[in-house]
Amino acid sequence: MEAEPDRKPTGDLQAEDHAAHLLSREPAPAYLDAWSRALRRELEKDDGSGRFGAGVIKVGEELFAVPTENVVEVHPLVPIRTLPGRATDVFRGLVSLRGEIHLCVSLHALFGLDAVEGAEGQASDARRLLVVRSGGERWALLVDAVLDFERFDPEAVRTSQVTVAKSAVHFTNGVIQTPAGPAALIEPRRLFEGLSRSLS
Amino acid sequence: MTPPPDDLSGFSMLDLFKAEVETHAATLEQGLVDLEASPSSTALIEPLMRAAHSLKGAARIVGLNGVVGLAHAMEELLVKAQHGELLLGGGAIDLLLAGTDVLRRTGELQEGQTDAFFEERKADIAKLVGGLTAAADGSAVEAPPAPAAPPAAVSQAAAADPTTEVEAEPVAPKPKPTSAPAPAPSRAPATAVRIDPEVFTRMLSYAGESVVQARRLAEHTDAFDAVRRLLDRLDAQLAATRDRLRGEGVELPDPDPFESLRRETEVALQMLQERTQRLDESSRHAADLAGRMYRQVLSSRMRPFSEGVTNFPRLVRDLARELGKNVKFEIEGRDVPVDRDILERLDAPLNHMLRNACDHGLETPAERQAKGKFDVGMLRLEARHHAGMLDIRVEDDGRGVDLEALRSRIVERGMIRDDIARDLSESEMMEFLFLPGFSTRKEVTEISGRGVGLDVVHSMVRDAGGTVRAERRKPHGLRFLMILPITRSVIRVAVLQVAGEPFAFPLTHIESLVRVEVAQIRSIENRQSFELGGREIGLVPAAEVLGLKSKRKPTDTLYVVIVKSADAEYGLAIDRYLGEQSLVVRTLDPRLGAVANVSAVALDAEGQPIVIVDVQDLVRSVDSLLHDGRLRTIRATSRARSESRRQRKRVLVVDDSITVREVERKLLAGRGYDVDVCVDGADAWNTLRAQDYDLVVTDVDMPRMNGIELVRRIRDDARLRAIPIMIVSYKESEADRMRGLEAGANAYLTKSSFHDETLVREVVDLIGEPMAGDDE
Repeated sequence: MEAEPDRKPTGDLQAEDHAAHLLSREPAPAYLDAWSRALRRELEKDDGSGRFGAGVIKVGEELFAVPTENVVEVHPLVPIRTLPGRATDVFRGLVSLRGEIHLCVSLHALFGLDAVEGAEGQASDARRLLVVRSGGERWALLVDAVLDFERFDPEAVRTSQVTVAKSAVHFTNGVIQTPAGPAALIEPRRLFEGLSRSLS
Repeated sequence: MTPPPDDLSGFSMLDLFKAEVETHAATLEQGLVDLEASPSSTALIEPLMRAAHSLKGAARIVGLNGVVGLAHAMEELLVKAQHGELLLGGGAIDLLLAGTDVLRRTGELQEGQTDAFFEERKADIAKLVGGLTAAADGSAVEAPPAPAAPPAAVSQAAAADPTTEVEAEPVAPKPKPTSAPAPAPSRAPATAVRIDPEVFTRMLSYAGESVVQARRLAEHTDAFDAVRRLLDRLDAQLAATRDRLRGEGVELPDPDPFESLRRETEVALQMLQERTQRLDESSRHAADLAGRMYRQVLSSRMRPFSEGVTNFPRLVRDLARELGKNVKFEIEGRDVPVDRDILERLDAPLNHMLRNACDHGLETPAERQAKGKFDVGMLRLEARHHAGMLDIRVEDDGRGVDLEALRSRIVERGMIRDDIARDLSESEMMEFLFLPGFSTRKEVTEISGRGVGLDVVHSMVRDAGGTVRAERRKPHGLRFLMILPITRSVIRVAVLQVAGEPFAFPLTHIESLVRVEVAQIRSIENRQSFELGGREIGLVPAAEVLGLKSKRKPTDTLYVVIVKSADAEYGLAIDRYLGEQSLVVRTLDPRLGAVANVSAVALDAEGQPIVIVDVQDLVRSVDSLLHDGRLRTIRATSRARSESRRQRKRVLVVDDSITVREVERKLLAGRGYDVDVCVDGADAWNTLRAQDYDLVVTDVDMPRMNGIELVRRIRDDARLRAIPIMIVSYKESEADRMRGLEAGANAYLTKSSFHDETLVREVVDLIGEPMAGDDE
C-alpha cells in the first residue's frame, strides 16, 4: 500500500516497520514514469559536448547499449500473449503497454545468447521490456536488465568486436566502455531489419 | 515530425488543392446527376457554378493553368443555364462530367507530375473546353473526348459511343424554372476533421485502457470495504473481550484501555469510511468519463451512409446512358451512421449489384413498354438500422429471376438431382445464385441475365461479418438484402482457453459450446468424433490446429466448441470456457502480414492482448489438416513428408472453387505429383511460407487474396522467388493473360485446359516428371 502524505501514522508500534519498508518499497508507476521521462529528456538534450546518451541493457550475460533517442520507455514485464503459428524464439508474442499493443521480441535468440537462468517468476526479476523506436517503427524488447542511462563520447566508440557475440555483431556498431563493463552499441536500423526478418 | 493539425505549413499547396478538388468535384458530380433528372431546376445549378468557380480560383493559385480555362468554360456554361438562357441536356452534362473528371484527376497529381500530365492531355482538354464553350453559345456540340481519367471503364465507352446525343437546347422564351419542383439539394456534409489513422488507433488504445484502469479503481473500493469489515470485527472483539474479562471479575485499569482502543478503532473506521466513499465517487466518476470517452472515440468511426455512396449516382447514370436505358436511381437512408470500415467494404459489392441491375436486371424502354411497365426503370439503394444491425437493400423492378430456368440450370450443372430440385423452395433456389462458379456472365444471361460474380459479393459481405440473400420482388424485379454489423469495431466473443492462453472466438461464428465425456468419443481410422443431435461431428484439438503446445492434462470431460463452414462442421476441443465479452477490434500489426487463423487482436477485460480467431479460416485449416492426414501425429507426418519430398515433386493447387481444386488435384496426383490444395491466396501464402513446393498452380479470382497478388508476393519473396507459377483461370482475354504474366507467372492456362492433357503437359514442361531424375 502507498503511504499518503496527509495521513499521520496512528501508532508508534509500527513506526519502525514503516521506516524499514520505506526505502525498499516498489516505487509507484507514475513516479517511475515521471523520472524516466525527465531523465530521458536530460539525456536527449545536447549538452554541447557532442556526447550521446545511451541505455545500457543486459541480454544474457552480455551488455549492450541502445541510443537514448531510440528508447521510448522501460516497462516492467507484462504477460506475453502468443500469436498462433507465428511464435518463434525471437518473436514471443503481443504485449499491451498503456493500451497499445506491441510486438514483443527476445534478443537472446537473435543474438545467439542464453537467457539468464532462474529469473523467471522471482520477485527480484530484473527483466524489463524496453520499447525502442526508429523511423515510426516500434518494438518491445525483452531484456534481462536495464542497468543505467549514461552519456558517451562518440570518440570512445571502438570498433573492437572481440567481446561481442558472433550473431550480435550484425546488429551493433562498435563497443563502448560502461561502468559495468564493455557494451556493444546497438545500431537500431540493423536491429529492426533483423527483427522484421524474424517475423516471416 | 507530423505538424499539429491546425498547422497547415506542412502541407504543400498541391495538398490543399487536392482537398479542395475532392470537395468540389463531389458537389459537381452529384449535382450534375441530379440536374440531369430535373434539368429545369435552376436552384440546383447555383452550387455547381460556385464549385466550378472555386476550382478555377484554386487552380490559378497553385499554377495549374492547364485547367483554369476548363473550369472557366464549365462555369460559363453553368452561368448561362442558371440564367435560363439554355437547358442542359444529357450531352452538356456529359461534357461537364468529363470536365469534372479532368479536374479530379488533376487533384490526384503529385508534385512534379503536372507538366507531363498537361502535355499529354492538352488536346483532350482543349477539345473539352471547345465543347463547353460551344454548348454555352447554344450551338450543338460533338461528343466529349475520352475523359482523361474515367472513374470506370464504362464512362469511357459512354464517351466514345457515337450514338450519344449531345445537345444544349437554346431556350427562346424564358421558362419559369422556379415553378418546377426541385428535388432536395444535396445537403452540405457535416464538417469532418481529418485524423491520422495511427493517431486514431492510439486514441482508441488510450480510451480503452482508461476504461480498464477506471474499473480497477472500483476493485480498490472493494478492498477498502474488506478492511472496514475487519475493523468492525476488531471493534466487536474488543468489546467481547472486555465483557468476558469483566464477567470473569478481572479488574480493568482506569481509564479503561479497551475504551481508548475502541475509540481509536472508531476513528480509523470513520476515516476509512470517508475515504472509501470518496474513492467510490471518484472511481465511479472516472469510469463514467472513461466510458463516455471510449464510446465517443468509437462512434467517431461512424460516418453517414451517404459518404460511401457518392459515386453511385454517377455510375448508374453513365451505365444507363451507355446501355440505352432509362433508370431512376434513388438512395434512401443517407444519414444512417455506418462504420467507416464497413462503408469501405460495402463499396465493391454495392458497385457490383448496381452494375448487375443496370446491365441485366433492368430492361430497355422498348422492352419495358412491351411488358406494360413504365419505361423508366426503378433502382433503389436503401440503408437502415434494424435490430442492432445494418440493413442494406438493393432493388430494381427489372426482369428478375426466372425460377424455372434457374431450377433447370441447377440440375443441368449437376449440382443437385432433378427430383430434389423440384422440392426446393424459392429462397433455397436463390441461394444457388451465390455459389462460386455457378454464375458467370454468359451462363446466367441464358437463364435470368443475373449473377455476374455474385459469389464474389457473397464472400465480400461475409468477410465484412454479414450475410446477403436475394428475393423476387413483387410484381417485378429482384431485391438483394444485406445484413451487416453496424460496426466492426466491437464484436461479441466467447473467450476460450486453448493451451493455457485465452483466445476470442466471435459468437457469430460459433454454433455452440458443449461438454463431451471422453467415453462418448469414437475413433475411426485414427479420426475422433462424437455424436451431437444425431450428427457425427469430427473432434479436433484446437491447440493443434492453432499450432500451440497443449498443456492440458487428460480429463474425463472435454469442452468442445462447435464451428461450422459452408460444407463442414467440427468440434474443437478447448481447455475451458472463460466467458463472454465485447471486444474492440484492432487490426494486427501490418509487419506480421496475413496470419493464418487470426483475424484481429483486442484487449481483454484485464487490458492484456487477446487474439481474435478467424473461425472460417480455422475450419479451412482443419479441412486441410484432415485432408493431409497431418492432424494425427505431427511428428510422423513430417518424417513421411521429407521422405516423399526426396522422390516426388510437390505442387500447390490454389482455387476457391472446390470443383476446380479437385479436378486439378486429381489430374496432377494421377500423373504422380504430390499435391496440396489451398482455398485462396491468403491460405496459399501461409502454406508456402511454411513448406516447400516445386510448383504453384493458382486461380485469379479468389477472396481474401487474389491470384495476381499471390504471384506478386511470391516473386517479391527472396526464398520463394524461384518457384514456377502457373495461372489457370476462366478469364481468356489477352489482357488477362498479360496481367498474369506481367505479375510473374510462368504460364497462363484457361480452365478449358482440363478437358485435354494441356494442364498436365504444361506442368511437365515447367517442372519435369513427378519423380526427380525421371526426366533427367
